[in-house]
Amino acid sequence: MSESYVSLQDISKSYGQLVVCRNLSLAAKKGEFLSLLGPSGCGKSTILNIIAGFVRPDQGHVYVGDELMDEIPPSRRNLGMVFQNYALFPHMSVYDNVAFGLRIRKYPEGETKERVTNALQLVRLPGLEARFPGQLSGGQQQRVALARALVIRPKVLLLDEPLSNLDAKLRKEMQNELKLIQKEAGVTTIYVTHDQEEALTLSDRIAVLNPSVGKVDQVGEPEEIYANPSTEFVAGFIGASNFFSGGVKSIDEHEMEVQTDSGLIYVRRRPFKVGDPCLLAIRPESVRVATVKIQGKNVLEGEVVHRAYAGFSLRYEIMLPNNRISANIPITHSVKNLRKGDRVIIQLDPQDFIVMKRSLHTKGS
Amino acid sequence: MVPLLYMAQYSVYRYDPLMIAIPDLTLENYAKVLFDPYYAGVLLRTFRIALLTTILSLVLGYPVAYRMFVAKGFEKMTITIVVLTPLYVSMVILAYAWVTLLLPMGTINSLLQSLHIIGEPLKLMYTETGVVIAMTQANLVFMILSIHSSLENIHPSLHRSAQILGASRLQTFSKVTLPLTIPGIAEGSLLVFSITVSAFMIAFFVAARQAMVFPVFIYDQAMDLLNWPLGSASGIILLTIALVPITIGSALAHRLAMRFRIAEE
Repeated sequence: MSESYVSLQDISKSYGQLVVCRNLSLAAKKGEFLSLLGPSGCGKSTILNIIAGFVRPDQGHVYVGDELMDEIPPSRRNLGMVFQNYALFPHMSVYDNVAFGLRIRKYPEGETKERVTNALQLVRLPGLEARFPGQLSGGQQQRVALARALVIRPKVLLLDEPLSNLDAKLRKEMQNELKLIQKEAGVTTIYVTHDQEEALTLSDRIAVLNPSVGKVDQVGEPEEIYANPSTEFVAGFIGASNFFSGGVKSIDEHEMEVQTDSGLIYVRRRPFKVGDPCLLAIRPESVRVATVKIQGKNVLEGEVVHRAYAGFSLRYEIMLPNNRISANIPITHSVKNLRKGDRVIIQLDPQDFIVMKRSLHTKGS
Repeated sequence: MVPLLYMAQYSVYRYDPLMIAIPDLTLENYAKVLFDPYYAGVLLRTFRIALLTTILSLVLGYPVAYRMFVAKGFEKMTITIVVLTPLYVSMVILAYAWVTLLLPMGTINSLLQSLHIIGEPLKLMYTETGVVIAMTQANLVFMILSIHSSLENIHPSLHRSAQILGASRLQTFSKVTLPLTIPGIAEGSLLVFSITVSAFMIAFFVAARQAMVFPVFIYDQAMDLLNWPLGSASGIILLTIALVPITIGSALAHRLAMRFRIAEE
């Protein structure tokens, strides 16, 4: 219990017919940057609002630092929160915005001034105290919102997709800044986003929220989640994935043979038995594409049905017997000039497959 | 615009009992109104009533607007319908209804007397007080809608931000909500003031000539006495004088809205 600083236990919340979460449990460690990742509209914000105290769960408990928060109103939970639209008070100056929390707590003006100045320095916006929010750019407003939340030295910092309103370049810059500021402040942070790349970049750990079950499918470090997704949902959501469903046909010392609708596929041996239904996933960047016959296991023939250019990479959509997969190849690769209708050979390395259990009523059967 | 131009034209003609207006350019109509203490008194009363009505509408209207804002579903719908009532009814009917309420043996006095709150009936008819009460009720809707609109324009995340920073409900209201509704208050006040200063129907029925307001005076001149020149001049005077607080108020309201970045330059 003392390992986790923020703890959600068995939280359930529904709005009429819409189930946001069902017996969801989640824990964040002290000082860590935890991302809550999931598709848009899946209730991540609701969960954040439950931690903040704006939404009351139908059941379950919220603990912050071993203290039960259930009956405590948001104004007394001592948390910091940054919203997607920054929510700076437009009728107050930057200084008054940042000082708001301190003034409510009746800090003496001298200490307030010191803390506000430090906070603005932390977010790299010194000297803007007299400006008004309407005079600031999006990135600046964001930082002021961050300073305002941090200046009260909150127990936990809650961020609700704070970078969504920024353009791509600014977003990348702010991601780096945010990470530095968080480390410097040392505050436990829960970050809500639908952008898996952002989550992979920023987080110490990621919790992937699966809306169809209302629970967290997997929690782990970014590399772990990417390399070893534990469910089909996580595999499909983090990085893209190509899926093959089938059943284990035979097992030997190092490999398993899986019978799929597209043919026999060899994968690294996992704890399965012959006859088990399973789901194979392989990343588009692991698909080898060639125009002539190549050596190796899992060589399949297919036809290019789509070509998409993305600057530094190329994505081919290839039709295989009973399946359609994506292949990402770098633009420097020799097979960059295939067109729709071209026949190709693909090779899938057994080491690159992720193998998951499949229940007979998941999609892909 | 055209009727106003006609008015301006008539206002500088000379009044004649037989011909009504002779195109003999003169400023005597203006002089008559502006320099006569009686008419100055009427003008002053008109503005006083407008000011009192505005303040009363604000004090009574804000809580209603706020309640309307927080309400949901059925409650919200009910409040809205009730608030909008003055708009469904013709002004004549509204004014006449108030007469029924304000008379010595009318509804208000009967109620207060039967509850033993007063012994003698209050004199509400034919007084400024009665006019202010009736005008307030008729104009509340404009104040309420204005304030309600500015309340709705405040993004909910602003309230949440204040709360998460430690502000109580009262503090959130006084430090965040109220300041941000000042443009709405200004707009509503301007509207109510403008309407009341030129309002005719209620003053005509409730105050008649015993607590004369300018619009009634103008009516008398133009319709009863057929003194179009004097009536026209009075109309122009009222318009001009009323424009002063309205223009200043508008400019202030706009600057406030800009300051809060609600309106653009």
